[in-house]
Amino acid sequence: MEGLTVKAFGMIAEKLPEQEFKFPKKENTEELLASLYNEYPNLKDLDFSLAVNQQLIQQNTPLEGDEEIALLPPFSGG
Amino acid sequence: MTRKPKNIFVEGPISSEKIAKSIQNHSSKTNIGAHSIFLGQVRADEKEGSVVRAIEYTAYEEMALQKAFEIREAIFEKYNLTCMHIYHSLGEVKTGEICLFVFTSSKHRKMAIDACEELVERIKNELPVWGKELLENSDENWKVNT
Repeated sequence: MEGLTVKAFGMIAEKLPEQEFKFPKKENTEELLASLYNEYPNLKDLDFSLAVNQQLIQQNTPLEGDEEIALLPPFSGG
Repeated sequence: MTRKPKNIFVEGPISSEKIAKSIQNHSSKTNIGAHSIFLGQVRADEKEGSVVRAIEYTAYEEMALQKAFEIREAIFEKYNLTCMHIYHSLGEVKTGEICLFVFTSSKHRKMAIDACEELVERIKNELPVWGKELLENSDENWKVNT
């Protein structure tokens, strides 16, 4: 299926209706974040990082449209 | 030989039998002179009128395994180690049980100890793993690493 796959983890997973869902193609991660905030306003209050295809990103990153995007709250393993 | 990511996750607590067996497995590697072992244990922290009874761990497994592999390669590069093992629990681990087992072996103690310490720090900071504290009064609280 076309589009981005969004996966949420930890606390973020509990704040969204689904832990994994499809999302329409976006040009870059800034656009994606804006759409996610629009769709799920409660995300705005949460601290999380983005990973694109399992790589943490620090800045706006272009998207092809079929990436796996992960919403990662601060890690708390160990 | 190129190394590949290997599984580090264990369902539930890490048993003392597993730890003992892991030590025993190294007895044939007689070039080892020092092992350093770190064990993370679930602590019964007090939280707003209740107390932690267990931590439930979840992970972004594919990313965590890839990241653990990168960390492992970097530590092997930096320290002169004979071997290195990492085990982290997933699912529920009760207070007093072991949730993280890091094991480094070397010819001499300094390398093993320093590598083990750096490995534990990097695991806690860089692996996409989350702990949810389950409290005695049925409340839940997302763990924050300090």
